[in-house]
Amino acid sequence: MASVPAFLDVRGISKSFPGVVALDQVSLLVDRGEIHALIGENGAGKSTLMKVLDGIYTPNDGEILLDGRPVRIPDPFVALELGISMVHQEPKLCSPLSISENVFMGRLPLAAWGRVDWAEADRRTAELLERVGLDLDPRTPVEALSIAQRQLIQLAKALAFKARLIILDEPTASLTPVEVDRLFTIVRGLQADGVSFLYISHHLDEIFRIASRVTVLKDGRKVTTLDVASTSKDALIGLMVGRDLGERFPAKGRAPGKPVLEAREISGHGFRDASLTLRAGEILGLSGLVGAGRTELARALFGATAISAGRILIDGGPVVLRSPADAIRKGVSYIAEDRRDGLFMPLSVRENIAFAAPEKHSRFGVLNSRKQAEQARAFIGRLNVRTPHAEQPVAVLSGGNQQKCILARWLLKGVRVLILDEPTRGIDVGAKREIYALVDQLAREGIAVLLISSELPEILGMADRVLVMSDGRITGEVEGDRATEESLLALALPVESIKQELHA
Amino acid sequence: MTDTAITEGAASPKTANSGYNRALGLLVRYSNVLALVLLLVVASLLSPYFLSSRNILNVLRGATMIGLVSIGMTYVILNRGIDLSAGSIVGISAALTAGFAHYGVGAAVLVGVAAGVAVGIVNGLLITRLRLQPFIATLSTMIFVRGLVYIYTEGSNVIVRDASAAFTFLGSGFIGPVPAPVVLFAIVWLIAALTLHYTVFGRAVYAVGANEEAARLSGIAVERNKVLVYTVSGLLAGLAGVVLASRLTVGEPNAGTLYELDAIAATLIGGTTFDGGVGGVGGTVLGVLIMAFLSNVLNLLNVSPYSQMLLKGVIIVLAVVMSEWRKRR
Repeated sequence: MASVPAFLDVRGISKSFPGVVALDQVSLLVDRGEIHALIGENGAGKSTLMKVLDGIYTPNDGEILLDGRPVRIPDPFVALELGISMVHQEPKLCSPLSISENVFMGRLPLAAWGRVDWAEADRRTAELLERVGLDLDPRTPVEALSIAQRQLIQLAKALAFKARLIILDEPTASLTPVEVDRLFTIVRGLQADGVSFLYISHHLDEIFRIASRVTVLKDGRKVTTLDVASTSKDALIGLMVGRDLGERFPAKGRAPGKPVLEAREISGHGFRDASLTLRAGEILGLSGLVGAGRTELARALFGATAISAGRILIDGGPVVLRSPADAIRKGVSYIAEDRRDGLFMPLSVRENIAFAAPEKHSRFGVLNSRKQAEQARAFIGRLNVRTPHAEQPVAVLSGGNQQKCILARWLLKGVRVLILDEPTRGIDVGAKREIYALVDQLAREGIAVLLISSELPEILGMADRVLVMSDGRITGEVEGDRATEESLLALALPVESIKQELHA
Repeated sequence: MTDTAITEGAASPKTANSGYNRALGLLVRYSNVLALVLLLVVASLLSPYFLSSRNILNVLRGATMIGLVSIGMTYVILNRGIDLSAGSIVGISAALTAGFAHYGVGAAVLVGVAAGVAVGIVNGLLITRLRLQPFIATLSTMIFVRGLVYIYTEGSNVIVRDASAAFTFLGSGFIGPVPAPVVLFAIVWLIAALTLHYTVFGRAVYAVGANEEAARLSGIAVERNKVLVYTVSGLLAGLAGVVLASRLTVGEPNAGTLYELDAIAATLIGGTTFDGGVGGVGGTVLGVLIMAFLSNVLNLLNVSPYSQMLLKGVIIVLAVVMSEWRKRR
């Protein structure tokens, strides 16, 4: 190693959560004034690594050195003190307060007797705004600003704390090309002043424009670090994907029947002009990057959010879904991305299974508890829910068993369409396999399954057909046997990257 | 992404409980029952008059009004809401019941209860249609309805002249040896408890309180459930107002003031938490009894009402701490 220590030296960082190893012995070097890119699929461990550097997570193992000295980062404030600042994708600012107050939050300049020196705060804020290229009054409330401007306010805030390492998390996700150019100019300016950047992005072409080195993460492990000049976009995609699928998915060969649920050019918050046909007895995969609009589309198909244009058809006939209750009456069900959105934590396993289907065990609004318990126990047995008894609060079950309770809820209801949004997120391998087998069995029994997943192997292993979304649109459909991680990722990456790839 | 994950810990509720731990668990779990028993024992030792049936029945009769309001409040808090207007509803109901007494008992009772139901529905609609937070919605109706009470009573007592035996029965009558309001309260408690446990509506009260989003995604009619819950609270507060007017044969403009806070306190002492979905009316009745007998014994011992308030404040804190412990075990 060089005699001058690297500015940031991350050594063998590991972090695990119940059921998941998010980071496994990851090491990373960033030099002073370097723009270092960090790439990987959804869930590869990028966010976890950032949160470790920002003091939000404490690693289980490994050490972090700044200027060759080991440091501990127990919370984000210490990170700021050390000169590490994070610019979040969704700017974390107090929107009713002024720019000055946000920039100097936690350390407003003081005058005599502890009075806040507003003149000084505004003056220094004005200087910082000039450095990030914003011509704004420091007194403006942040809520009046655009997303791009808010991102630059975060950058100004980082500078106010004399940041030496700035972590940019998908900074261009909601910016226009002109705004991106402006951001890059500012970043390069700061780089010339000796500020280092960790740059996280799905836009590979941006990495080639701005970064000098790139580190690839996969499944919580570091794959490699490369000089950007000596690699190519294809090589990077290859490094991000590709792994052993193993034997954990059930065999395919299902026989799709008639269309059950159809969408004809529907638009809504987060998606546009989406069309799809979901048939009885098939598993249709819906792939794409986080934020591509998959969950929004799924929730609209379930009546949880309204559509602004287009039509939804069930069994070939147009329907209007005003609420989830409407969709459920038509036989459509949805299992939410965040398991907590589907569970009644303090209530029993029995009730968690029973809540959607009161008609199965009540008459004139009066419950037949014995019947309800019998039905719940039947599904606890069939789905192999590991719980001592049906009266256990669902909160104490493991994630996999909680997920099975939600599945049981819809099976008891007797639905015909199952929309699964990241059904195995944060679930251990054993429970995953059980859920795969169950979903396969349900499809074979004629249930139509729409499977949303950020895990490409899961989509490849389960789906008969795959739709890919990017930027709110469905960008392609691939037959299950022909789909590869590369082909899905190419469709999922933001459009301008693909265009450039085609021209390259 | 989690292919490499180590198998997560299986669902294992704490199985290895030492005898000590189990005893502590039971203690925390039944702390409010224990508190009531302890209170009764200590009180009977301190004051010989305390255990007389006359005193006990008097305390129970006095607790009826807060008790009715508390049962409604329990529905609302289980649903993860709050009803600050309950005291004002007691006021409007008492005033109207007294004011309509000369049209006959049936009309008087009906008008009093209907007023409570109407305010409850308005609360529910403010919360579901205008999407006001329950605190804000019911704070507004609390003030508005109290204003109506003052306008209707013109700020002075509405006195029922020559009240019939039928009119005073609900507040002051007896069924056998038991005061009529105590019987009414027992019946309401029974119906409220059965409804919560054995009806689709009752379980939806818990479901919406435990997780509104999950309830919506399960197809539960969340908005209708909320409106019904505030209607129940309004109905029971209205009934409390009827009992109050019947007992005093007067509709006072300030009747029911601060009842909502006593009811919230009784609900909390009973183990229902503000997080929603946890608790029930059984606990609330314990809470009502603890508060009522505590005041009674302190009165018998000549403790000033001001000092009593200090103790009540401390008890609420202890009760909520106990609820938190219960949740963590």
